[in-house]
Amino acid sequence: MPSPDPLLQVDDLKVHFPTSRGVVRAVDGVSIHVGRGEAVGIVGESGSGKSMTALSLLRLVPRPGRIVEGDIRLEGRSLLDLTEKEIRAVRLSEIAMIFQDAGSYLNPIMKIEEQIAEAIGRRRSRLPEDRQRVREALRAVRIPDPDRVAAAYPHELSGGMQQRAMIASVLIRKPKLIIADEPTTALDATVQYQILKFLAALRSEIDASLILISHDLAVVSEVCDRVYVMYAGQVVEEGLTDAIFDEPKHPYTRALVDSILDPYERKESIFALEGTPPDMAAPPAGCRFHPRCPDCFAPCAEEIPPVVAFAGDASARCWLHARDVRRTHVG
Amino acid sequence: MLTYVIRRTVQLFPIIVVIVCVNFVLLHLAPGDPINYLLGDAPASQEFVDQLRAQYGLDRPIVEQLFIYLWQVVRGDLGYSFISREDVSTILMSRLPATLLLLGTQFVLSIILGVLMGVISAYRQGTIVDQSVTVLSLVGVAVPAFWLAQMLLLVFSLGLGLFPAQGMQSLRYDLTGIDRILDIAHHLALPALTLTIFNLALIARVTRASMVNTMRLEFITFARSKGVPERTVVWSHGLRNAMLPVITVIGLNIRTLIAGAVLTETVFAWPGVGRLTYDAIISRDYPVLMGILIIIGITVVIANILTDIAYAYLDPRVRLR
Amino acid sequence: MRRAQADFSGTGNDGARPRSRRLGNLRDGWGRFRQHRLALAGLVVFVAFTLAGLVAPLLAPYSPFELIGQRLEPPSSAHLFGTDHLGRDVLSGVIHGARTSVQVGLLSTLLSVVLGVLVGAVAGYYGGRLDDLLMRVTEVFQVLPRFFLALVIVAIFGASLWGMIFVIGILSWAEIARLVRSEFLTLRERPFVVAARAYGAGDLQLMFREILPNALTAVVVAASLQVPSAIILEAGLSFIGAGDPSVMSWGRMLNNAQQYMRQAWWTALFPGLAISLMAMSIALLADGINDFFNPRLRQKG
Repeated sequence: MPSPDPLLQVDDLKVHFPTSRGVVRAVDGVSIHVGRGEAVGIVGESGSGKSMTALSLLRLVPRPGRIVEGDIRLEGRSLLDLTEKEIRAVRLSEIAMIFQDAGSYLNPIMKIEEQIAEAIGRRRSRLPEDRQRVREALRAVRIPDPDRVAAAYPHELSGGMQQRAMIASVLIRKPKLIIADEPTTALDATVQYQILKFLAALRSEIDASLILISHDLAVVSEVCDRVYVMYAGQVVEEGLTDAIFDEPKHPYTRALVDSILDPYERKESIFALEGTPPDMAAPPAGCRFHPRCPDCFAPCAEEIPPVVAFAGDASARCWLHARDVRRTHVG
Repeated sequence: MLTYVIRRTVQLFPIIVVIVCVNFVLLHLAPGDPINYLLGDAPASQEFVDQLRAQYGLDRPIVEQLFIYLWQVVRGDLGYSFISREDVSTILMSRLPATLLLLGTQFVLSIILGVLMGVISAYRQGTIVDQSVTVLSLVGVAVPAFWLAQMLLLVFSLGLGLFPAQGMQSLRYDLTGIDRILDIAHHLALPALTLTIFNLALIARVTRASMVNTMRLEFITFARSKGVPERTVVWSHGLRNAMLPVITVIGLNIRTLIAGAVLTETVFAWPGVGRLTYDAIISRDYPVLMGILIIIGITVVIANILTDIAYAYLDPRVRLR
Repeated sequence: MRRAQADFSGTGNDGARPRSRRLGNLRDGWGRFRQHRLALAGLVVFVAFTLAGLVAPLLAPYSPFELIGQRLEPPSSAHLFGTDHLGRDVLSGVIHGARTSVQVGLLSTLLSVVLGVLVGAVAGYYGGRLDDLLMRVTEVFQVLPRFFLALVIVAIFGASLWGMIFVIGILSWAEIARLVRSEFLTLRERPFVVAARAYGAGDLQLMFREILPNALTAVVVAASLQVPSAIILEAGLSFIGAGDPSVMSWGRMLNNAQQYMRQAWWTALFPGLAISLMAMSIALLADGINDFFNPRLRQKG
């Protein structure tokens, strides 16, 4: 649902990977939007296309993948039309990304200081003001000893510190949009919580929008106002976080919500989704979720369900709803 | 870093000791009297032999002899060649510079060209550079250096007359200054080319494989996501990491390289250790051969330490281990 | 309700014995190997050389040491590869040289594999101080200048074919030892080993009946690369004059050819070409074997 003045607008994005077994449609018609200052979550299993969607925003889709269709607009400007140099400028100052498992994403033989300074294009600078900026960024992510950490190498830091160093590289350039791809997945539970709180605070501090990607709906719900649920390369549901929890419209979302274990709630049985994610080179016909869907019925196996809009900025891609609510557009 | 260097030196130093001991052991395990090997084929009277035996302490207990020998080597005394009538150390020192010149030249050339070719072929797979790296690496593994030397000699020197066939300098003229340097370079060209082709083949192949792997790693994506220019990504992020296995491979290959250099020298009559080895075998000059073994051993150990230092310079993780 | 399917595609980390998985892949592997034309070519050439070496006395038109023709005759119908400085047929020399190279290559590699596996298995299996000690020794052998040491040994003890095979063998085991050790270090902790130990298997049985078969593919690949290295090492030793004079060796043929390069290019071309072709064929074969056991994913940059 396009909102009046979104910071980011993605329409019908398709990312394809040619492989020996056929074309893998990693992202197949994804539309999302993010408003200014908004925190939006993207939830899905591995292989659902959520990370690839994020990489597309920065045009970092790894070869041989390609963005084959769709539009990505940042403040009205189409990112797909930009030259190499222009997209680099965007990465430098407008969109920043942090990744899962910071240890792998940091250059193991480069000092932290240099890797953060790089984010503002000042890797080799010896100017005191640049070094000061790096230390300030480290202090802002609550790293107790910025001088030591700045001069350190990634392997000398714990996982949590590495992640914070990565966040510092975002902070230092004050982007308009932060994309966090599974920022907490590789961390211990206690550290996870800290980082999440931190991201939430960060967002308001530098007044940026946030896209938080995770397979864990619970994590996303801590921080985000709105959630997109992805499955097999498509958005299957969209809505405000509370609405998604109270009334999930898509069976997959319902499964995700149900599978969140609440220590205060005793359940009769633990719901587990059956089956495995589809082979993206040869996805199921019709609704991609239908082989695992407990509510599967006739049209599901035949046609891809259209996106059905609901009140309150929500939508779902499911035949269950297409019958009684009017269609907005055909998927 | 310093502790690391010291540690590696301490770890590698025993190899030199082992080599010296091996020399000693071989001499005494060999059939016949050790004195025969020390003398070689040089004619000697019985009194001289007895005198020599006493002088070398060959009538002392074995263990004592070993220590005497070790102590001599430490002091730089590698024995005496009766065939050439000179101290082995003197002979070796006069030949070593030429070999080092050859090794040094090919090293610089093959590193620069090899890394360049490796990076280019990794970035643009399927191009001419990529294919030549593949062909070259097969050549490097299969073709003996000395035969390649002979073929190059045949074609470019004897055949086309572009390069001299022998030696390090033209003996006909007495050149000085820049002319002399150019003359040496002219003679150096073919031997250096032979060795460069070899080393380059290995370096390019490993660089290419390493770059392909490295550029796939996650930190490359992160660097790009920060808006870092692609050239910086490839060289400062990609290559610096990719060079690590290349350095390791270079280290492992040093002994083969030196052997190849020595053999190539004989083809071109380059006045280095190679020619010396060849002559020493023919004349059965064992002291010289054993001295060569020790010197080469020292060279290889030093080269390995230097390689380790280069690696540790690039990769700080290693220094702490 | 359908049963949940578990995903067993993986690299054997689920603790299952890798051996059974490997057997299942044999047929796949053979198919891939057949497609790898270069490896096939390598196999053919290598087999050709080996057979030529085996039946050398029957195959060669003349005895390689016989002074059969004019000195330094260029290639002709009587002497396909010409004659050398003593009037010996070069083609016969090349054929007999194949025998020497095959012997040296295969036998010395066999010796170094045996030594390397022993050292590597013990080091990797027992670990600890024994491992440290063995690795120090291995490093020494890895850095030792093989060529020069072999040279001195051969110079002092005299050159013989078997002597050279032995010397090359005992100076070449270090790399294989390292490889085997690292395989053992990994495999030692696998569930199938732990299970076998729980069943009461002794150390030796674990090392050689359980772990080693799974490390073999790596060893085979490494060994197949040792063969050309050994052949070239022997050629180098013979070239510089330290070879066995009673057997025909390509290296020594090149040594002889050196003086007559100007007049008789064929004396240098053919023996060296033979060395190169043989080594190349084994290298390509090794590549194919590697692909057979560890299929490479078709990667694009």
